[in-house]
Amino acid sequence: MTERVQPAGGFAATGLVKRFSRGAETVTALAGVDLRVDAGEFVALVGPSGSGKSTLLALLCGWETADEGRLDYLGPLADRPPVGLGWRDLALVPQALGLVADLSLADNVLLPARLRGTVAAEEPRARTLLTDFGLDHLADRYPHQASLGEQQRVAVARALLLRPAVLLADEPTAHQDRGHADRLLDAVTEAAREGSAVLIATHDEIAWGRADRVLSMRDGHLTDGPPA
Amino acid sequence: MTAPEGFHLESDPLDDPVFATGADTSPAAVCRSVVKTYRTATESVTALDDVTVAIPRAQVTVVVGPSGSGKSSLLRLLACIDSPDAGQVFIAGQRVDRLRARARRSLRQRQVAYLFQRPGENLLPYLDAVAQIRLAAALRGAPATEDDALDLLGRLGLRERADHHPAQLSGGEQQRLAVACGVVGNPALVVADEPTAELDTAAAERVLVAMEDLAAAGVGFVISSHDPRVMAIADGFVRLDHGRLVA
Repeated sequence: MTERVQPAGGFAATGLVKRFSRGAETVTALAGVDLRVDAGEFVALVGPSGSGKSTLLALLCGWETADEGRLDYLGPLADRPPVGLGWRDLALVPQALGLVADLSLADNVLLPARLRGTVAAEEPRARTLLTDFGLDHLADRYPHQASLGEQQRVAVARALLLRPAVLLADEPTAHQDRGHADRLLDAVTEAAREGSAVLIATHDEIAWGRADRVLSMRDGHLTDGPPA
Repeated sequence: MTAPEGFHLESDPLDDPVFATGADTSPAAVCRSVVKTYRTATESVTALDDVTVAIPRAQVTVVVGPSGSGKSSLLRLLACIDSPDAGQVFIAGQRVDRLRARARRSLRQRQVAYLFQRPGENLLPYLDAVAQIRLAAALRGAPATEDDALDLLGRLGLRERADHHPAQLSGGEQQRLAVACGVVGNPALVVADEPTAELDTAAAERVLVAMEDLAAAGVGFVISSHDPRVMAIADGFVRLDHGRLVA
């Protein structure tokens, strides 16, 4: 298998504000968030449901646009809008997973390579990830034939496939038993050690212990350290 | 050329074997004397009882009936998600109910699109609008260029949304994009389950105009709905009650 030098590059956000309209009411989901995650760091983002974690991830990957503030990708990713970044630059595990119903689990893992036209080169790594995540015997199944936990592991494997410069994950262990959760966290930790900038939103306290840093989100404000 | 990475599909066709190849343009979906029964621990419920319908191409067919009449069961047969207990189902001229799972999946990929009621469920959150359409086309074995995708978006009033992700689109825009993904690559049939149920009037009307326009180009739409706005664009109706076809 060819070893590749992966692009390094984290991201820095300053003063991010995001408001939503809910009927006549304006809800401030992010109230001025400063955040920096560098290449090689594994950061856990914690906080109660509705605190703004998913909104922050949506801004970071370009699905939403901030009302105020600035977001910069660093290093080789600099000066590129998030929506212009590919899976190798910025990979994500959305809470909704987003598997393609008509592709097998193995082909879902390979989707980022398929979009780049590099399937053959990535097949060995896809097989390794499937094995590491206990999915090798399910490779030919389709998403509807897999449990939610298995589907979630496929989504994590898909995100890791191209060794992304930035990895964003929204509750990536939410549907796992402890053993599988630990395997996912091992893989995420290894990605950071290989140079990825990793930010995962998680309620999993074990994950907090594995991270280099923990940030807490509450009512749209971000603070250093785990919640009190 | 050096293609952009990631969320934007390569400009070349995605021609590896996992994507279906070839497009069958046979024009019909037909259910002939289909019976579908669901069994629970205590009873057996006949959801469809000797139903025969034909869904023409280039038309909008609306399936109507009270809750529990069998609308969803019929849609699931037409979408090749379920098989009948008796009777026959043909999609684009090919008999489906006897196919093995893999062959049925392959036929469904090429010939049938299914639209869920909730717009967001029809789209992949990490792809922009152009990439959604191009992936749908590739899965259907009919790769589309970026220009093809942009043309389709233009017809649906979404040209300026080409590089937007689903989270950046309104519910109506998401559903129109889902319709675009449904029709790209010329499937025989687009099956839609209450596609306007979560949309306001203006958004629903734009979705329906899009369906009407695209149906005229050759795709058969079959829609289950209670919505009078949907019925207004119907070329034909299938009326069900207690699992049976009614006049």
